[in-house]
Amino acid sequence: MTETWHRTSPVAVVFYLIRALKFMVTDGLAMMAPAFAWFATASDGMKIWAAAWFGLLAIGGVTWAILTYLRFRYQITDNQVLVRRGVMTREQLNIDFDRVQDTSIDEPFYVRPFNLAVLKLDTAGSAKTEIALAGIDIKLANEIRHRLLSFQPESQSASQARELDTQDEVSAAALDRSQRILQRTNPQIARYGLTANGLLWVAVSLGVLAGTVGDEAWSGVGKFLFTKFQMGNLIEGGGLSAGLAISGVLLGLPLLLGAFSMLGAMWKYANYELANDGDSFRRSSGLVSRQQQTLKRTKVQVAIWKQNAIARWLKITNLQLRLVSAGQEVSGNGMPISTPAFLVPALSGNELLPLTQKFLPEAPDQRPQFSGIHRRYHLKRCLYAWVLPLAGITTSATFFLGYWGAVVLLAGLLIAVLSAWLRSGKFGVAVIDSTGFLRSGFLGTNTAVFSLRKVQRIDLTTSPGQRQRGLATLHVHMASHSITVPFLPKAVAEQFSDLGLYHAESNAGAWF
Amino acid sequence: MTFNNLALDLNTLPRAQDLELFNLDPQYPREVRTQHAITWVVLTFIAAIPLVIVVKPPGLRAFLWLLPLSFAVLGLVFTTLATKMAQAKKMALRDHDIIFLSGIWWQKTVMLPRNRVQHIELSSGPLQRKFGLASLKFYTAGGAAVDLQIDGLSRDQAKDLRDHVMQQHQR
Repeated sequence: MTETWHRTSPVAVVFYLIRALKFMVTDGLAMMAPAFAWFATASDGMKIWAAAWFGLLAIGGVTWAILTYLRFRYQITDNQVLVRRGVMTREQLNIDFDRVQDTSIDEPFYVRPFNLAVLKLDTAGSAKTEIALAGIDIKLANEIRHRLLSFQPESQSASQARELDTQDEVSAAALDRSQRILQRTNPQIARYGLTANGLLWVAVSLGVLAGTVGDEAWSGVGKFLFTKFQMGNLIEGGGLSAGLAISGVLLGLPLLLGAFSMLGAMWKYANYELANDGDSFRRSSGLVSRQQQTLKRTKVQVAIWKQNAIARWLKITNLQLRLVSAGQEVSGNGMPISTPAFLVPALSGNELLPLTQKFLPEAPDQRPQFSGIHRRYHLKRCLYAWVLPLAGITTSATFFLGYWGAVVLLAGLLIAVLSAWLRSGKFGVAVIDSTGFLRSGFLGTNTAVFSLRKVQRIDLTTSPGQRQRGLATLHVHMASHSITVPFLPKAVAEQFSDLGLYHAESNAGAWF
Repeated sequence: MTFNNLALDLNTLPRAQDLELFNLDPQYPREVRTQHAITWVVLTFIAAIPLVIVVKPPGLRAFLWLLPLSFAVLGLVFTTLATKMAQAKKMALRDHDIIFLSGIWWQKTVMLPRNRVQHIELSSGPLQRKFGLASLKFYTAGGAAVDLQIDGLSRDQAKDLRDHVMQQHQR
């Protein structure tokens, strides 16, 4: 077979440029901050040098983007995607079709006018080899995705291979076979935006902060900020009004964050559509850039029902699908890489179970009755996570603050008892048929739903105290992540592990 | 836990906890003891260095004696503990899985289905070779971490176990 290496469209340069910019902003911001400070304070003569330096940086970025584009070649064979890339070190990647667990087609605003797309391929367990074919024809992107999804391993009969060929010709028609199974309206997506975990913690910590710190402290903070940043010119009235202004800002902060969070959700998930074609699922959404993400049913390891306190209040649950993870692998800058999860946001109580069944066909059509954990868990949790550290803090606080130190202890103890009690109530395990449910949570719940045959390994641990009371801690390891349920009755934990082992061992089929 | 219209009879399910577990190679606790003893003897000697350097005053010298002494005592305790922990390690091999028990106070039972093992690593360090031992590491899909490490097997046992598990996996 003659090798025909294809080049992407030159528009890809923009894609690489944005990627470089993203890298600089996320990884180089700490590095850039002193540079900006220097720029701001430098004398005019120095400013020229600084500007030259920034110019050089910009030229470097553009050169890198152009070189990356020039060096990028790809080729699609019958069963592989081949990619040659790299500016300094060249590499060739051969990705077997059946290794691809997740494909997505993005149409950022700058490629849409050219009828182009960015096709991203994610392989199981190798975070480093994420591939983006930036700037290929949208039709080609759809066709590649179709071939990936309908690919049958070589062990299948030749007749099927021929069938595949004919399918290729009518792939455009075949693409329309997919059925839309779910749609989210934009108000629903906005509500999903409100359920961001960060928002919850901001709300909680602001509440705690506002409750524990008095007004004088606020005006103190105000004074400090005023003298520091010379904001006094803007608002008359000195420390007290400044304190009020800052309180106002702090109250406004959650609202602002909420708005941002909703915007973020809209940016990614606006006009959300979930389509199903045989054994693959496709999400398409996005406000400015249209994004399509596809995954195969067999690649789903765990479905997680996420419902934090805000989500419960809004009566919605977000469904997250977890794929095989790259585990301990880290990216070039030392941060752990997480594979992008496939998300179905803002599901109502009636939609949750039927949709879960679409992804996990074995899942039951009823919610499980969970068996909870022993009450002793929160005693121990209180002792280790709160009382011991609090004792240390109180001793030092009393030393500096006098009797106010004791207040810290009391407040801490209250939070400790409350948090442990809230948390221990959320843990639970259940099995219906061959589906396992593990629930955990603090303010709200996370319920992992999975087919028991996907279990990779099970650990049971017991401490001396647990043995005395007939308790055990259950650790279930899946290919996507691990889940721990502490202080279960030993009989329940053992039964769960025996069932898990039974299903894992009696199923020979592929599980990822 | 609710088990609705379960096709299995829970009472006939094979129970991992009722298994007869067997100890690892008798050489293993000895190897652990030797390894810890060597480490702690070296540490004790290092702790004795100030004693050689500092000559005066005699009060400080008496205090400096405490250093190697405490290391020696700690070494004795930890070596005994490590040996006991090595003796407590047990395993069982079933048709479809490996079960490994470790720990004296905090006990851990690892249950690893054989058909979930992706690859196995066999290794043996200099001291292990002296005692005729080898380590087996089992890896499953997802995550780069070792799922199960068994240190105290004789070289032949380790090889047999590896071949056995891989053979089953290929079937």
